Amino acid sequence: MIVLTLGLSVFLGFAAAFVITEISIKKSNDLGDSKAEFEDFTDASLVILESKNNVRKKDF
Amino acid sequence: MVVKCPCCDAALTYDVQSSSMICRYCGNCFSISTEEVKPDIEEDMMEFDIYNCTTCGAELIINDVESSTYCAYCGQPTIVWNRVSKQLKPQYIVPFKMSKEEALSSIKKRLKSGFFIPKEIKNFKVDKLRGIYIPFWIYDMDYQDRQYLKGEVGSGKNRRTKYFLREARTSFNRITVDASKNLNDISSQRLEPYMMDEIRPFNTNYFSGFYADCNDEYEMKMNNTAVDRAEELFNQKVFDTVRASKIQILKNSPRYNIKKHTYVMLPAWFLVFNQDNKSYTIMVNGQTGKTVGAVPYDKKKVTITFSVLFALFTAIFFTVIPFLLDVDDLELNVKLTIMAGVFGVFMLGAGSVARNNYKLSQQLTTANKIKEYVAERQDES
Repeated sequence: MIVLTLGLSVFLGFAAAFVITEISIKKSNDLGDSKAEFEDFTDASLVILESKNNVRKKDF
Repeated sequence: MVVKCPCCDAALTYDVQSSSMICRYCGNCFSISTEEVKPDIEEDMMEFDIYNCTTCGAELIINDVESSTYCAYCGQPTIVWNRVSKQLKPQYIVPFKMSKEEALSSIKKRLKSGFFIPKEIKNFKVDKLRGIYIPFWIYDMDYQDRQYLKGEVGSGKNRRTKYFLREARTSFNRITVDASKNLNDISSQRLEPYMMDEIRPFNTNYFSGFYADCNDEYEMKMNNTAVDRAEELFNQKVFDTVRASKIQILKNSPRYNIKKHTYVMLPAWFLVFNQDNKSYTIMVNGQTGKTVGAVPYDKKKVTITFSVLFALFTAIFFTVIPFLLDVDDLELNVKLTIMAGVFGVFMLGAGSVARNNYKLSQQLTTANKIKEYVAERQDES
């Protein structure tokens, strides 16, 4: 049991430290990576002409 | 672009603060003509004389109605005619709103706020800082699509695939496409957005004191890029109306109509500096001040941060996990181990995505091509 606990702890600890460090580096050192959005390219909005939420696969 | 002062014959420069032409020698200030460009003139060509300054190496574009005997950048009377180049005349321009000092201050401020940025980079020494007008085409385009979509809804055992139909349309009126072959499209797209409400009819006076690049991209490629950008923006907006995850288009029939495309010049500052024998180019949107680029991290700081987090999280998990595991329930232990494994792999994946995105940005910042883009307009070295 102790081996399993230790193994999981080290693996999860490594993964958590890795993801936090990498995201922090990106936020700190990658300047201005935000992308322009839909609204930046048009004054119009998206007009939905038809919308169905339960389409059967065979219908198309 | 060199325009001479009518009073003293010195070179006029465009002043960002007052949005006018000023003479730094006699102090006079001149407004820029805002004469409208006829909208039907789409293929209007303009002849530019390309000059080189033998003192500072600057390459200047001067139109045929003006003459100049000295360099607008270094003030020396050492410019020599290089060649005549017939270029497409821009219809509109977004003038620089940020001065050189403001651009530099914006970069310094952003670098100072980065925890992992090394001190040497925070106190960088400017190698080159140049204001360059980048040629862009702005597209007006109607876009419509009928899409059959697949997505996942629910969670756990209730997770299932669901199918959706969406038909929608929109009109884009300012899709921007970089028209310079030398500047990477990803780099120029990161400078966006530009506020098009500040667009002005083109006037060569705006070039004064700045560099301008020429439109050298193929029209077909730009049209394709514009449609690709419209498609990406449209699809993302349609996906936002679908309450599902992992959305995919199974079948669609996109239609588009390019109504108009306009040639414009958009402003950007390019800062080049060297660090550990590597050259970095950071760009600043000359209108909004958005700073773009990726710089290396402080390896020592990263190692310490990672080690502290690793020790901290391992200790937390080592304390919590024994409460979740049960010595007598092997099935529960196997399930928890698998769940922990999946969670761990998910975190490693998320970390890798962040790392790859950062590396891509850094590659763009250190690319020789972007350094040359600035250098070509700076000096011969």
